[in-house]
Amino acid sequence: MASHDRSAANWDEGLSLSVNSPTAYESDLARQLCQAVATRITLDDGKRMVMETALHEAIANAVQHGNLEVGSLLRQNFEDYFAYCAQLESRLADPRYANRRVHVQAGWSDSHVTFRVRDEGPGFNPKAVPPHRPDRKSGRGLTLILEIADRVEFSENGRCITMVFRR
Amino acid sequence: MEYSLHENGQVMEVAISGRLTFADHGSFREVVSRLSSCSGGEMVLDLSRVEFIDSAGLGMLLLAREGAENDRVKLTLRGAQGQVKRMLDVARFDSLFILED
Repeated sequence: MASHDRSAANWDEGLSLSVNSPTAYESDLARQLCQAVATRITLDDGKRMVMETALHEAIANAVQHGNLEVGSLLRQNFEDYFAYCAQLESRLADPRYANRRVHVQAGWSDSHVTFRVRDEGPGFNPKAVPPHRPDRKSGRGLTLILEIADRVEFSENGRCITMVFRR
Repeated sequence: MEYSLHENGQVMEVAISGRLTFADHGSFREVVSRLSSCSGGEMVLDLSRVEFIDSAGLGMLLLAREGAENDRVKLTLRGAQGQVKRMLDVARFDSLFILED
C-alpha cells in the first residue's frame, strides 16, 4: 500500500502570485504572503517569522541571482560594493532582465506549509555553492534557508526551490 | 530602510529603521559613505528600530565593518532585538562586531 505523505501541500487551495523583477525587488512579498497564509491557517508568530525569513531569502535569490543575473562576488569587498549596487540598478532598468518574473506559491496540509519560488534566469547548481563562513558578505541566504526549513528541494536546473515547514 | 544621523560628541550615531534587506543597497551605501567623514573615529549603528533583516542586510553590516577598519573607525552595533537579534546570533556576529544591548 502506498504511504500517504502528510506534508504534501494541496496547491489547489493555496495561494500563488507572479510578479516582474522590479516589483519583487521593491515589495515585501514574503511578509505579505506569510500574512495571507496566517489568515487562512493557524500559525504562531515565531513559526511565521521563520517561514518569512526563508521565503524572503528565496525570493531575493530568485530576483538578484536568477532573473537579474547579478553575481554576489561583487559584494565580497568594500571597493566592489558600489559596482554591485550600480549593476543591480542597471539590470532593474533593463527590460531583458527586469521583465523576467518571479513565481511564488504557498500551499499547506494539516501538518506542513510549503513554499515554492521559481525564477526565469539561467539556473544554477545548488551543490556547487561553497560552504559559508561567518565573515563572508554574501552567499549566506541559501545556507540560512537550509538551516531553518525542514526540507528543501531544487528542480528545473536550480530555477525552482521548494521549502517545506512543519506547522 | 530609513536612517538618521546624530553627532554625539566624538560618536556618529546612525539610527536605522524599517527593514534592512536586499532592496536597501542604495540607502545603505549612503551610510557606508559616511564612515570616511566620521572625524571622531567612532560610529554606532542603532538597530533598535529595525524590524527585519535578511542575509543581504547582514552582508551590508559586514561591508560597513570592512569600511570602518579601512578608515580606522570603531564600529558598534546597538540595540538589535527580535528577528534581527536572532539573525545576528545565527550569523555569529558576536565574534565579528562590538554588540551592545
